[in-house]
Amino acid sequence: MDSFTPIAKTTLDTQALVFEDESDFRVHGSVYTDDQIFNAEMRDIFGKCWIFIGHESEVRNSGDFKTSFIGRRPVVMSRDEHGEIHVFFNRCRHRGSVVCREERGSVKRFQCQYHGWVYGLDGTLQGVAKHKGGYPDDLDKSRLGLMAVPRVEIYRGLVFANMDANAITFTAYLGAAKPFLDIHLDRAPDGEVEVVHGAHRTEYRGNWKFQAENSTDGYHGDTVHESFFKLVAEFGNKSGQHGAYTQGDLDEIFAHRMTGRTLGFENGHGIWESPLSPDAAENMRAGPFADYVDWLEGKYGTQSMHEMLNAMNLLIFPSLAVLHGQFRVIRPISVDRTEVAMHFFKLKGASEAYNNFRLSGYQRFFGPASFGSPDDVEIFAFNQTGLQAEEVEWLLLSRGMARETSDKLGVRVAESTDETPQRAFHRAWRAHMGA
Amino acid sequence: MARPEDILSRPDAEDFLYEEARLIDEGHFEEWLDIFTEDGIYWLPINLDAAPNEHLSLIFDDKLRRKERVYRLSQTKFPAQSPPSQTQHIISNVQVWEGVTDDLATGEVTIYSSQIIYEIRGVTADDRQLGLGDQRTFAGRAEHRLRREQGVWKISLKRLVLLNRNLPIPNLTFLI
Repeated sequence: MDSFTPIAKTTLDTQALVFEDESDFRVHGSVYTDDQIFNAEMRDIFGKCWIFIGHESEVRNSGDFKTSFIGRRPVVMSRDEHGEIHVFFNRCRHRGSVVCREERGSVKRFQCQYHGWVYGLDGTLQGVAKHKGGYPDDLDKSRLGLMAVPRVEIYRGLVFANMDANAITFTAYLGAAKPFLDIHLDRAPDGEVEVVHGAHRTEYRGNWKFQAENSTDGYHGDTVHESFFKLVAEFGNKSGQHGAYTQGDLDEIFAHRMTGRTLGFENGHGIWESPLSPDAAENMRAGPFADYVDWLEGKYGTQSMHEMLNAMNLLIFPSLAVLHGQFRVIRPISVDRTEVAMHFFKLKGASEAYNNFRLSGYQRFFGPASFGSPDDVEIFAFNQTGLQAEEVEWLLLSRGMARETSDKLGVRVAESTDETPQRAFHRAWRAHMGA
Repeated sequence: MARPEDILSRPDAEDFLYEEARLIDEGHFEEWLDIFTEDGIYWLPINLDAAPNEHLSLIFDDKLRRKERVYRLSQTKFPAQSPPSQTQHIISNVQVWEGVTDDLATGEVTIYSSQIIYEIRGVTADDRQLGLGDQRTFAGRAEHRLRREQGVWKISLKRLVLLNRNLPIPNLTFLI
């Protein structure tokens, strides 16, 4: 009655869909367009990897909940009477209805609206409507609680869940990418971040992997976001700083954009990093946020201070990106439909003025009416349209292979416009699919 | 005691809103900038009860951000507006209320209106790529706080509350 059975494997040959040799890296178009492959991803990728559910600050008090998804599976994250966080499937054990329909809120218990079964904040079945006579008097309610997701780990406030009971720990999964997630959190003087309520949500008619690849893509900016860089050249960063760019010459901005790097990690994680321009820290110090820059320098030293002010986009395979003060959650809906939620977070311990400035800068580039992210989303629909020409089989992801190096931790490093993170993503994709 | 409509009649308020809608629908964005006060705010909230720094907004534009928005729309080319949006505003249910200072002598009133905004990108068969060619409808309640400056009514706050503000919205880059 309480069994938990993984979805059966298919015989799909996914290994040939990502091709790699010494100088070539290609991904087959069907990886983005085939329903069968999408269904296999729900099992082999979202059913095996650590998936971001939310941040602790989103369920601050007992009774708070937030609904989310592991691939297509609806889940609820709740905080019980003892302060413990739970993640269980949003599925009544009786006839399968969701027990929680709001995105977030606060309740004393969860009640299924179909036949009225009642569950506690920790998922335990508390009551079966009209129990007497309908079911045995000694019905074992302890076996009929909302099914918990097999594994949950909380890393510095970030709640991750895994469908695979035998999965390696989250920290092991993150591997050499862990220090980079830490940088995003260490920017907060109190060492933790706090999600600002409300999310920017967008949806596109394209495959979920386009947004995953794009989150660490340093190659598209000069074309897709040219309009934004012209705007920065015209107006500067008074209304919000976006990475390292300063007012002035568009060519200087483009030249600076070539100075970063990309990284690819073993489990599919990736990074695009763009350094702060040499004068940006001093400009910040001359402005109203000198106290923050001084704090960073005092705590981490001058060189690390510069690194911590860099723009750094981290993709945690497969569907969470941490960038520009946001948790970006990619939710696959079907092979050609994806929802993206962007949750801005404050740096706890930083001044209200600095957090407001960060928020203003975030909203300048991200969100449905902003000057950046809607252009990416538009492209993903172009991709899906183009891929309907199925006879043109491959997408090419070989950029920068010749100049890619590996460090002693096995991290691959290349230049800022190289497709190193995307290759890492697809290597992990291939390793998981059908494994 | 003066009533709000004594200093701005409902027909005059309607004319103000119609003119703003015309400026947007016909793409006269530079002129649209001029109908705001220096400290004017253009706000599309997501949560009605939260301060704009405690909750994300769809749009929270001060003067500089509005100028940036208009610059991007009129001086640059970008994917989310290639092809550009065309809009048609329908405005109804106009009411004139008191301003926030509650002092009509200072010349401040609030106009509430219902607005329906039709938006379409791509109008030919060639534009029927994914994401184009859909006519979208945005419905919302607008609040315009107006202040009279040298005899001219200007917007000190435009707050547009969209019905679908909590749902995924792929593209709101057309000024609304």
